Amino acid sequence: MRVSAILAVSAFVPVMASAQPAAVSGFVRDRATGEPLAYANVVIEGTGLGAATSERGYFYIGQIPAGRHELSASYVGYETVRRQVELAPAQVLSLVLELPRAAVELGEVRVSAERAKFDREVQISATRLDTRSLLTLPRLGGEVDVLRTVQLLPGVVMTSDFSNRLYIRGGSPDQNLILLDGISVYNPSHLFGMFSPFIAEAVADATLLAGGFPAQYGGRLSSVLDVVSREGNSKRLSVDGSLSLLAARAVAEGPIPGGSFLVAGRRTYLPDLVLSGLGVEGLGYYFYDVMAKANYTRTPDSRLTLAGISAEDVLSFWDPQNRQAMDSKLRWGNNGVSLRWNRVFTPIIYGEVLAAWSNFRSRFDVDFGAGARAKFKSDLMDWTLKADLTWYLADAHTVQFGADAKYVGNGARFDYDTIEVVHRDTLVPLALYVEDKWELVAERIFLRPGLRLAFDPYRSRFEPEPRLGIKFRPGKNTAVNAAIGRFTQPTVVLNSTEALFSIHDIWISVPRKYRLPSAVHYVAGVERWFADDVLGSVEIYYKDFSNLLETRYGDYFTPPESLLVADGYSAGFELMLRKTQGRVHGWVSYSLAWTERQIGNEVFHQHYDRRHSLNIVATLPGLYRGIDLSARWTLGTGLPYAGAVGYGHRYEYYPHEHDYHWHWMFEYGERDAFRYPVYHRLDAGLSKVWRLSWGEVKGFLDVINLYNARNVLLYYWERAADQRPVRKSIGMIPILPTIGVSVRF
Amino acid sequence: MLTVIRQARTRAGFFCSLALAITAASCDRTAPSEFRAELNVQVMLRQGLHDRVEMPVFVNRTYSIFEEPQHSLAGAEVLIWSRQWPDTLRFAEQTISGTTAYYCTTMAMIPVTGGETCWLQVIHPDFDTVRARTIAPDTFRILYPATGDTVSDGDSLVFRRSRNAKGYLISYDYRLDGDTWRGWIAFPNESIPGLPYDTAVMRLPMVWLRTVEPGRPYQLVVAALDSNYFEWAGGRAQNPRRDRQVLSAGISGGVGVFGSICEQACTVYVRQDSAGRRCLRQIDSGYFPLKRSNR
Repeated sequence: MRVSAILAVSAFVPVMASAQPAAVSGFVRDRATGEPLAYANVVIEGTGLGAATSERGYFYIGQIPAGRHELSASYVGYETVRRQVELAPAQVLSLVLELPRAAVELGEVRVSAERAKFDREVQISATRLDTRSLLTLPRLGGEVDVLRTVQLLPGVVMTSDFSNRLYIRGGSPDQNLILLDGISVYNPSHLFGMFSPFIAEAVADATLLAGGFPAQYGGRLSSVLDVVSREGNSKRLSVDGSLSLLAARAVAEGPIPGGSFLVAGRRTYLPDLVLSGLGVEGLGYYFYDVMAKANYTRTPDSRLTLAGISAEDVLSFWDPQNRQAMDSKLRWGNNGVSLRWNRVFTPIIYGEVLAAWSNFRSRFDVDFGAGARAKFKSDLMDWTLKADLTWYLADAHTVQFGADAKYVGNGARFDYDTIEVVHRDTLVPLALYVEDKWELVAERIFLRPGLRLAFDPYRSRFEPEPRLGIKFRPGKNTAVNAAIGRFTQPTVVLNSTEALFSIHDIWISVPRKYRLPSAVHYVAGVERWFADDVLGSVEIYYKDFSNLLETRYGDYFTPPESLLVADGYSAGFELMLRKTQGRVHGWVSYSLAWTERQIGNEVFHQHYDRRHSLNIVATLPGLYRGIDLSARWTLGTGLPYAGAVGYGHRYEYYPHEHDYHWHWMFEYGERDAFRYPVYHRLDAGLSKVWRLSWGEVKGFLDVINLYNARNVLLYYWERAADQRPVRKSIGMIPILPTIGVSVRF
Repeated sequence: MLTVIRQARTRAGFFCSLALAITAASCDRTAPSEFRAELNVQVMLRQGLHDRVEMPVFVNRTYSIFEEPQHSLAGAEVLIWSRQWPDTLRFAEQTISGTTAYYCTTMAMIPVTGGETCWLQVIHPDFDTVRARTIAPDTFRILYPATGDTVSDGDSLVFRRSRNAKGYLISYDYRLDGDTWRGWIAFPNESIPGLPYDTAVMRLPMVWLRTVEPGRPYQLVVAALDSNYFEWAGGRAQNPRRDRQVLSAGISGGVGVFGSICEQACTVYVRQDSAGRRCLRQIDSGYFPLKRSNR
């Protein structure tokens, strides 16, 4: 009753406020597949009025003078669609605009999604990667990885070749909110951090909000990575499969009555093959992923989308001589489902209701035979119910508001003979938010004030999180941006992010004895389009962190009652030059950053405090006889570590011998006393598509670390023949060529 | 034309200044932490199994990572005393198998007893004086298995707790595939259940025992550790990384450990084909099976 009353009032107010002008609303879709096109540009020619579509392809343009107009919709890679419309006073016209794909990509259309966002949105520190950006990069083991591509963006630090963890603007990985179709993904890693569970071919786009993010998002201190999977082809059935050195993958998509579906699956086989080829017995490993999505459009204004993910790593080891003597199986992974209802309540109110379930689970079962077993079981359950409404209040105001309720349950149980450890906690965080996109001076000054009220049930208090974004456009191609915002985080991890390899994170609610971790972001920057397809941006930021909960240095896992409270900051300067289309496209990004923490009197730089990072990413389609070339080069100054400054003898007593043996023990300096050498790596890939009568075949050759740079993962010490300690190093990935083929029909 | 050149120069100057400012502001701190050489003293007072063995006091120093190590350090004065002893023990320097240690010349006279507090002092003219204190754990008794018992999978190890013990160490020593494996695992006292509490009950380390050939004797060694030696052997370093060991436990003025332990042992035989038999049924009363039935 109350909702309908609000809707009725909201529909009435703008009509009263502007009785004469008309409006146009609707969706922009891909004509071939029916998928919505996010950030397409819709313009009423000759009026200066226009809008960028939302992430779901919806647009609304108000305040249009009554009369005859030409409406155009454009999107990079698609032909522009023009439509003559006759608008009566106060009429609201609903349209679905379907754009055909351009035969030649480099044709007439020059307005990219980035440009449309630049013109219409107040988004600071936001970078969007679409399918094309993701799929053209060189592949590790034949697999494109979304998170590894995100690692190439400014402000993101990669700590090793073996880890896809994201350290964004001085924040640790647990401070990032990672979403897949609204599902919170808590541990997005496979093979101890080498890959993410997102199948790149099934991903429509991934948007990284590196700081100052809108009030719509909360619960994390540093950033948001919003991954949206593809909707599937609603016009025809197609199957795409590939074989690479590491894995086999297939994507099937097609129409269903009233909508479309997409199912993607991937399973590795290389580790098993390698292990058996090397003669390693008693060890097996694989991982698999399944992503699925289906949508159903009941009416043009109402759409249901069901999405899901299932991903698991399975590691087995056993006694090769006698499997009954020791047999172990470790399984861990993510499951998640979301159901989204998109509804155009009235042309000026667009809404979305999301129900999502996410589960990260791990099961370790070690059987020593004869009934002796060690078992570890942990579950993290996240239920989300979320409603977002967008109210096109007037031409100058677009108000977004909503509510977000979660139930987060953590449970862990370790059981080995007499030892039984059980941990369980639940948290029900709630939040309300409202935000206005306010065009204060037409096409010149945009404001985005917002407020998020997060209820912290453990401490029974509301945490106000004000946000403000400002955009000033002194010229058509230039924008000056600024943002400030407060953020809190009700859940933290208990395991150190410094571990080189990670199976999974152990999440808990922030215990009552601690204050809620919080951060304030200050961001300012300038964006400029140097050409229709060349965007340059410079940003500076400062993040002020308070009440962070850190693990004890050296711990893999710190019990909740022993977490350390830290304050700190991160600051930096970022530069990005991005070419979105053309014979050569890609980006160059440079980051200069400082990250510092203080625990008591100890002040130190975090282990991911990389001072300088440079990434060059380039794709050259059709370089020679239809062969595409892609390359990336990364350069980063050394990361800090605690190096040995001294050493001495250590005598160990062996009771069975009643005697002592000695080895070296090392005295380590401060945790940031040393830095590893500069990291650099060049990857390159070639691919060619052969179009055949029944479909197409794509072959690819990728080389990781083309010039075989010897990057250092870690140092360790050994005792040499003359008993002196000798420093040794373990390197990162050496030169690694991979080939593969994909088939589409 | 001149204006254009001037503007270009101004712009170039601006970018050069910006680049210089960034370079200057972004230098990393690479100087290593300051190293200061200290005495490295390691002593463990043992009682229980071997009351009259020689107990070495290892005295050396720490070395900078750039220094060449020496295996001996002469000139130290090593003293250990207790209020219960008539005299302070002075240790003399000896080199055995290339390792210099300070051995007590009056070894037979060290009467360490449970609950006793002992003090250590090491003086060297070139280093800070090392001082330390240990409280010896009380002697204790292994209740099960007894020497001569045959054990199997599922059996328990039961012992009376030692007063003053911070933790226990179970030592292993076995041959597998031609290699000899030796080591120990340390358990904090509070992590070991038992009913009544003065009894500690844990599963027998069958992972090792299973490697023993049936019919061959195996010596099971359990040691009660004082807080210093527990931290040294099985504790966790507060500052260094997880793979690094404790540098100093109960020592002031230097690094190392001054600990005390009480060892007990029993010799058992392993029956590999009788899994599932519960040893606790063999013990009179007062104990409960370890596997809780309500799981």
